[in-house]
Amino acid sequence: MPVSMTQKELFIAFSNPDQPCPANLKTGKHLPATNGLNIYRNTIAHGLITTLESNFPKTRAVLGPKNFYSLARLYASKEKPTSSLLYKYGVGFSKFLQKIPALSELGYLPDLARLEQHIRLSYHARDCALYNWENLLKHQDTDILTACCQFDAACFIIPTYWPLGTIYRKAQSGAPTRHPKRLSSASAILVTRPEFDPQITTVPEELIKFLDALAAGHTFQTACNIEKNSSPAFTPKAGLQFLVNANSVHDITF
Amino acid sequence: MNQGTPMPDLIANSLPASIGVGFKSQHFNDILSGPHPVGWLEIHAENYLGEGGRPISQLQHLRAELPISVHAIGLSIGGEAPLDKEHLARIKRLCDWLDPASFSEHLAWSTHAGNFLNDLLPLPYTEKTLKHVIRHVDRVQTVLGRQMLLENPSSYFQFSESCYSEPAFLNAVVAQTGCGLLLDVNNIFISCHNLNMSAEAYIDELNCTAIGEIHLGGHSTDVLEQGELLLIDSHAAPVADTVWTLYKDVLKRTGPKASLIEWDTDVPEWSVLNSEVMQAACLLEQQRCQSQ
Repeated sequence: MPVSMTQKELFIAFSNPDQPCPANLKTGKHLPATNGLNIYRNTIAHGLITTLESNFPKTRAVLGPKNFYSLARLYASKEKPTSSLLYKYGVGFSKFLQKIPALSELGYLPDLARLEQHIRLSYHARDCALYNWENLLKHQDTDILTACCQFDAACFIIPTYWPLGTIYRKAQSGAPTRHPKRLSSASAILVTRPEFDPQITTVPEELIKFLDALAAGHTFQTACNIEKNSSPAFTPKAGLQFLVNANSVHDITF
Repeated sequence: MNQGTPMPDLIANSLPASIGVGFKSQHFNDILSGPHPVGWLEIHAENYLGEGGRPISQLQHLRAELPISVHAIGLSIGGEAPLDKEHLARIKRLCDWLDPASFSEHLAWSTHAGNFLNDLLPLPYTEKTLKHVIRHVDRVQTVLGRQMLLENPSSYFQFSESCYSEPAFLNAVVAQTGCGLLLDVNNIFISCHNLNMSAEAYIDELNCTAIGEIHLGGHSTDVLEQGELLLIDSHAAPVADTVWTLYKDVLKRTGPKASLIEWDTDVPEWSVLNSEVMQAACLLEQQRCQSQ
């Protein structure tokens, strides 16, 4: 039997417990090879579920361990990792949760999973020196307005219509909020990693478009204009102050 | 026959003949604060292929204190498909930066058609598989510029089409590539129990001169409906007495060798791990005295 055929067959047999045991497997004892095959199947399934548990601890806290286990098992049976870097496993978990009808009352859960995924990416992201804001004082205001902002590689902006910061912290404290109210307007969470442990900050409503525009590569001037169009109360000073406090900027390019 | 001697242009395995442990981040402070009998550390490459953060920072501290062995689990050496170039490049970056005392992988496959099954899956020991494995070991050694140690797997079944025994297959890979062997004594015990073979006969057949590192770990037991026991490579328990006995037998053949205590699941307190290290260190020392 060619190697390719064996591995293709085996991949299916390892991935699907319902598949029969391939005929070319034996144990050397008078025992069916199915027992051995099931060891691999269980190890694969258990490993993937454990990875999801580790990658989505707050989502697990909200759902409860048993419910999370069932959902993780279902997800693992449908989606295999595409890389051996298992911290990246579960990219589609948020969308998967969104499609489960029984979870429709926990409308914030996909956003919580998405936040956890980005916190994990932040944890493993490249180390970047933070921008020294004193350097900004050396530049004229007109130069600053045409400058662009380069965010830290560990920094992510997560848009949401839920009070995600509160939901995350409650889950972290072991007392998850089960029925938070959906917000009437868009919100966002900023994920940063000042040293080794990612932190989350709720972005004030009047700064969301400003941050999004900067993250998209627009100049300060353009970002300020975009924000002012929807939030007349916005001031560039407040925008800059938020960036300074959030430890999120790696460089300003003039 | 090649004795596990690396090709002249490759960096050879240089692990000291002492006891190492598989590094777990919760033991970071225990290791740095010492004193302890640990002579080196092993890391799973795939846990350190992120771009920064705490894992890389910890590794930077550890490398200043102890020799490091990089143990990969995701290259799919026995896979039918070509090696994942990106993954190999990531491992090369890690090895170039870390300059480890050893690099090792498994005689197994884990990837098919772009999907990664997070386990070390078994291979039929055929001529075709041998060609795949030799090509992949050659490629890894060439790209990394280092000798690689190849680890024997734990097995729960065999393939009827196999025409090599496992030790004969490993010997053939060593002879053709100049790679060394990472002998997992627990895996030999598990495979031989599950497949009704003799562990002593397995070791007799193996080219022991190629062994550059030894792994010791715990296993668990599953009782089948028929009343038979199936041993499972769990890395979640102390090393079994029977495995210690087999380890002594291996040391008699190899002399003192770098040996690792593996404990990857339900990881215990440092003190528990330390007592396993002490036990291995005593056996290694006994062998050192007998060898002199």
